[in-house]
Amino acid sequence: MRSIKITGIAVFCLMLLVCAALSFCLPQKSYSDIENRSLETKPEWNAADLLSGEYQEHYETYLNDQMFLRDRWVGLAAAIERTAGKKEVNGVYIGKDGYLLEKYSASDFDNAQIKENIRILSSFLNDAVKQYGARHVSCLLVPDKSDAMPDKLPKYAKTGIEKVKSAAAQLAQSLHKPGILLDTRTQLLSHQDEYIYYRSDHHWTTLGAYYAYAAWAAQTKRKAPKLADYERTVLFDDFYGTTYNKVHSKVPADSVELFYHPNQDGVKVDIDHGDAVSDSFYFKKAAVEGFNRYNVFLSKNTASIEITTKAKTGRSLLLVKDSYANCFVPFLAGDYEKIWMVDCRYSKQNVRDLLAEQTEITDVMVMYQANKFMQDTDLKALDGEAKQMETFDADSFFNE
Amino acid sequence: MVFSSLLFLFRFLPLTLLAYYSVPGKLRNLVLFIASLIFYAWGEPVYIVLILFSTLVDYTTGRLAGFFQEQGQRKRARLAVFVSAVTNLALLAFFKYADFFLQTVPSVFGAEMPVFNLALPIGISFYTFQTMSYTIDVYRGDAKVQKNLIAFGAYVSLFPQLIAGPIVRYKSVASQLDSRKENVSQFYHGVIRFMAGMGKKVLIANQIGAVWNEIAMIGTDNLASATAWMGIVAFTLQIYFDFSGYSDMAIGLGAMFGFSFPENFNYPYEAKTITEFWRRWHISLGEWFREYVYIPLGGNQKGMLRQMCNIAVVWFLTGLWHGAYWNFVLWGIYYGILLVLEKFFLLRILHKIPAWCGRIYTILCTFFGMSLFAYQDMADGAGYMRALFLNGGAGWMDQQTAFLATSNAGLFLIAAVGATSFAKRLVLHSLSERARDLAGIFFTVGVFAACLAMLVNSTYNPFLYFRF
Repeated sequence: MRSIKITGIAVFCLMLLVCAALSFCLPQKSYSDIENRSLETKPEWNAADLLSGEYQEHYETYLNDQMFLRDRWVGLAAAIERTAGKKEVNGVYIGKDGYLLEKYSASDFDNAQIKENIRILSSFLNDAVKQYGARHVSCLLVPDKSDAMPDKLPKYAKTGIEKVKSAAAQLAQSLHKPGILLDTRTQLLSHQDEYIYYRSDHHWTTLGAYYAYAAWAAQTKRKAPKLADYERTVLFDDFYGTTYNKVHSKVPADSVELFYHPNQDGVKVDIDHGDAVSDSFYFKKAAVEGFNRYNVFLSKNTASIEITTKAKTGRSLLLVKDSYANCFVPFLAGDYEKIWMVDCRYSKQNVRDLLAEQTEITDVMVMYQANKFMQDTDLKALDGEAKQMETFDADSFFNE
Repeated sequence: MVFSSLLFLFRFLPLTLLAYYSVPGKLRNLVLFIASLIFYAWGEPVYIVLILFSTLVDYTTGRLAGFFQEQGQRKRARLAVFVSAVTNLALLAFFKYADFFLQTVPSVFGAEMPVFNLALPIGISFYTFQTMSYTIDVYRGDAKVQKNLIAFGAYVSLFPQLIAGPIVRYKSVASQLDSRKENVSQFYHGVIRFMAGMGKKVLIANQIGAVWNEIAMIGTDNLASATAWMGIVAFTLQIYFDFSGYSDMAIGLGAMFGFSFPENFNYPYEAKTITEFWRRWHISLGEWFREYVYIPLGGNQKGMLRQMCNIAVVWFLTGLWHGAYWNFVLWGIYYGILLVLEKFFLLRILHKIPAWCGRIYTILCTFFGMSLFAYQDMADGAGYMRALFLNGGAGWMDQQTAFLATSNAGLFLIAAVGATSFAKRLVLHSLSERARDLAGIFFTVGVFAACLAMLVNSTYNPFLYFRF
């Protein structure tokens, strides 16, 4: 009996010592690719920090950030919670058929921010209509996965759909011309049994993007290539996306598909004014480097991308977008000779300046994931008022 | 520093255990004293002065009280006790209640006064009570004078129970401070107890606390009644698992260092009356008030009216001890009234009805008590009550209720069963001591791994949108 107790004590002490030794000796990492943030490294101590408690705070963060096998522990935590019957772990719904869906609740949205974003976007679109005509301006709000594929949600799970609907209605109301705001959700909903969003990532698949393209083409009275016209190849089948990284909960890996059409031949892609130049929409190397296979579409997020195609349509497009457009834009290769893509989160240039500069532009499209658009705090680059404010400030500065 | 952290598990505890067991017996109190001061100073280095001050004051008053008592000078001995009590209560009053009074008293006259806005020194409610108990015990002849400042310092600052109890009265550990023999069986049971406490805190309290937080976040205007009830059940379970888990960890750690601390919880949610509940809930606090307030005031020996007064005083103070907010006072008074009612007539009825009726009565009273306890802002508390009892903004039930119920059913079930003595009785009945000890090893490893996973997960914050 005594020997069992001694064994027990030894096991306990050994666990403490081994963990202590590991966390002490293993090399430190300064950045986590998966968490997408810098990690705290061992702080240097000094008397002042020690007295104020600042050193201690940093030290604890350092211990947590440098914990060995961090992702594995997170995965174990998710497995425990799933075993206990949890349908939501770390803000992610554990859905059906291996789907992981980000959870949105009313408290994730700030009404003032939504109002502000609607003001900026509607004024931008209204101005664009004045310049290019209603037929050449469109706005596509991509539904969140949970709203496009509600069947995959766990039973009774709530999504942000009510907020999205009311925001979309407000946006439609503030637009002077009807028909600019495109409803992609209905189209996607009718295909929700298909593989239109990644299971482990928040993005839509290339197939999902195609359905949205087809809906847009129908609405703008264009002839879109049929689904069968594309040559589809699966480039990766080992993709675990960002939603997965929040929970590390076991789901089947995603596959990433490319849709090839001859109209993509001879394309020129210029990222961030010569930062990277390519003759293809697809950046295999960028996708293999990290975990994020979605980067195959026009590499990682960047401020601006300039695309030249072989199309002879006499039309050029400004596309204000977030990452959902990256796998969508190849479908536009047959419709525009030139496409300027701008991501307001990274762009320092005001989009209105770009419009004035690029006189070739004939069409404007805005594409955002609806929920992210409502939460976005970086729309300043679209804002005409902010632009006036800036110049005003500059003037008063020089006058002083 | 808290027990449920990587810092404690990977740095503090292994180092302290190593240091403690590698020095001879005479130096072990010193190791504990130093380790405890580091433990205390980690979060708030400056406040270490307070605990040292409290230690020195009571070391001195205790010696004086003992000296005068020996000389037969009771009046002077009493003066020493008085100095100890005034000093400790002044510390507590200044750091914990000064702002409360500065806000409350002038507001009666419609005035306003500036407040100090001091951070509450960790554990001050616990160690001031402990040091006071020492001088009083010496004065009463219940304990011998502690002449060794290190041993006394170790008692006051003893890290296992420093920040959340149990409130260890001096006389219950006096002999252990001077001479204790650490042994294998005690250490082993300490490990099991510590892991059980850690599991209660990290695996249950934190998880069910997250459910409560989510429900509290909804806001009482959008809260369906059934969700509100789920919230209060979650909060009731969270408080129990959090607090009793912490006590378990303290008792377990104490055992690893050769101490045997008094129990603090005994399955309170199994109680059949509120009177019984308070003999099972935060036992060390109840005993402290009984020993040092209720009985000195005359207890039940001086007639009914006097007893009622004494109960009122004790429960007002018990409420206030939990925090400098009116809701805690109200909560204390609520229990005072229930206890008086039980003394008058309810107990007689409760003893006649079936046990399960008593249990339901007690748990319902506890739920109500917890909804007083939960909100420091009285208006928020009232709003929550409205959602509980009067159909709130979202009706009796909604989609959210259904989701929370289905997603957390397992957790609630584990917590509800875990709050009873069922598992303990099952293990004691079905396993031999040998099998229990063996199972204990697997339990330790399993809970350790699960707790690490949860602790790491709680600090894991993928920051996704801006860069993707």
